[in-house]
Amino acid sequence: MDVPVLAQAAVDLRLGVKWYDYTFVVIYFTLVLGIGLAARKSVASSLDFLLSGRSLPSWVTGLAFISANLGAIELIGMTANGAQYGIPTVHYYWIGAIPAMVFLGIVMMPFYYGSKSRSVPEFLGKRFNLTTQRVMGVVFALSSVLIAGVNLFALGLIIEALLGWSLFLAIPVAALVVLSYTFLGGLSAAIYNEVLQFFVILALLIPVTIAGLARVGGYDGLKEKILDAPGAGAEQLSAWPGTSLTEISSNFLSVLGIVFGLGFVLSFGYWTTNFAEVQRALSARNTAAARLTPIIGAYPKALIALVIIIPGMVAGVLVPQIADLKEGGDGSGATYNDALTLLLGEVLPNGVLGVAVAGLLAAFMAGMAANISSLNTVVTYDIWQDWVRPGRSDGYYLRVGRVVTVVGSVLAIATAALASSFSNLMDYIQALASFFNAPLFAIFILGLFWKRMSPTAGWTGLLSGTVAAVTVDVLVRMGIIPVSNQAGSFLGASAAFVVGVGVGVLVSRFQAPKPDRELVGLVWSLTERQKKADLAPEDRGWFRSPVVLGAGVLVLVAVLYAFFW
Amino acid sequence: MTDETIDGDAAANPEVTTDTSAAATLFDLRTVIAVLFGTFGIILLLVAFFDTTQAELDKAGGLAINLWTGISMLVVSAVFLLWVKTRPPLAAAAEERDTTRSDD
Repeated sequence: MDVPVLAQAAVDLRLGVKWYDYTFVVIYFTLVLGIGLAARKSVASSLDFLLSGRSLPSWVTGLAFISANLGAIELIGMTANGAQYGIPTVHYYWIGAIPAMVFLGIVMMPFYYGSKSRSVPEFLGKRFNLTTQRVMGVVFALSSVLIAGVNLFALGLIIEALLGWSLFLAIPVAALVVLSYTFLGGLSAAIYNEVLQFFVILALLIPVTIAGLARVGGYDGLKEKILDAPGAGAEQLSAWPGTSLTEISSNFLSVLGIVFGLGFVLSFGYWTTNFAEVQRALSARNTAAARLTPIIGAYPKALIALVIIIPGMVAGVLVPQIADLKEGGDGSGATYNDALTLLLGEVLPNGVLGVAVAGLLAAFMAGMAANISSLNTVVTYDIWQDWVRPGRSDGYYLRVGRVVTVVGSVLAIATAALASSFSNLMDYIQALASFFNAPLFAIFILGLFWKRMSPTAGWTGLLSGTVAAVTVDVLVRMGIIPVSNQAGSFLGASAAFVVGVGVGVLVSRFQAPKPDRELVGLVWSLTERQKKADLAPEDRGWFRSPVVLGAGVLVLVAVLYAFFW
Repeated sequence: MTDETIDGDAAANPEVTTDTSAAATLFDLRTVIAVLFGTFGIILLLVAFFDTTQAELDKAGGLAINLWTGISMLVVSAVFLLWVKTRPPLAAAAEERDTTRSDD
């Protein structure tokens, strides 16, 4: 099988694991399945299964929010970026995630949670109409299955590379583990496991950062080595203007691209509308906990950048193959995507190595479990209950949720095969994001702040935005628009946003808006201050205020930027 | 106004957890994390004491990474156990419900 991406036949990634390294993996998996079994006892209704009965505390949903995003592709892809570009990679975290997460918690969550929507498509159904909900439901189901396949394929690759199992065995086994705990315990099991995964992933990242830095003589030693290395230099040690990352040669335009392209369109589009993330907040116990979810998640998100990017930079000077790549060599068949796994073998002794393997497997399962658990919510509620088979008993929809979990996992195995035919997984994922997230964000923002936006404008804006992004993607791939893939996906996302807003405005001109009374709690201007306060009560104590905590994390990001200017 | 039945039941009789809020309290995630890191920490210490060669120490620049990771994990485990001890699952759930009552 030709698998050119994360691991290549040419590089031996096999880690020298000893028998006791496996004990960590075994203990971890026993607890993962145990959580599935224990959570099963708490599943009494479809809401329990699909939204954890809206009962979870905010520290749990906040960590799950981050963990759902801290999947395979994130871990491998961002250490690769760290190795290739150095410090400018921090933009993906600090400007590319934190402001959007704070915005989601403070501004948008009262509308999501307050409207009692069980999913993002259902929210759109309330704001616009049933057609918009259905279009969004189908599009989301499709993209979830595709992305779950990518995650599964990546997980299979890592098991094959590290432990020497064949891909044909590794992929179904990995799918079976994720399936068994989401099938048993639904979203609760997925979320509890995500919190556990968060800690296990930290137990991988922190030792590898410390051991790596110890090898190169601390951060100062790392800086020296990067400055000395051919093919690297000072621009890898400071965040701005990040020209190597954006591939824009003008300093001013590069900063503009990072702030508006990454910091606004891509980041707000992803974090505020991606249901796999938003679902974690919807399962919180009340509006206050829901608002705190992304903001509590923002703190570890801001800090985790350091223990992902620094190991990547260490790999760039310490791992011979990666250092060779940076000098323009062929890296003896290795790619930047191998940076993390090669570094693990280079700096970790047996023992911690076993913890690291458990952590990698945890990261890979987190991504897929998030896709599967959000897929079954959308299919069960938005497609099955509100469309295909309405008006059945709750027990019926609970069974549907379980069936969808199984079918979704099987489909993910099929799309894993599809993903294996793409030469660059990161490109594949970014293209998917510009197709789906950017147009969604366009109609979201327009619908939230402009009450005249009409029902039909919802789904027409969504579809035309997707068409625009796909068109740009095709033109870039055919070479008619001469830009790199990275710049291409940003261009596609911007086009989707502009076209989505444009079509939304145009269609609204020819149709009567919804009556104001139907939009209370769904549109900013129609939700009076009093009502907004009702929707978003502060928990007792200023330290639990979303606004204070949100401002706090923005200050943290400013301080971090000051260190790595 | 969120889930009137749940809050209503819980307010009427805080000793009894309803089906749904049982999801949060039935098994305590903090204990699971403490067990995981406790076992991981002990195994790492055993490895550090009984199976450490100079070559392995050199991998991490001379740092006894197994030893230090093991110790840190035991500390994390202890912190989570302490948290469970000071705020047992049922009391924590009841207290959180109290502080967030203003939601209704």
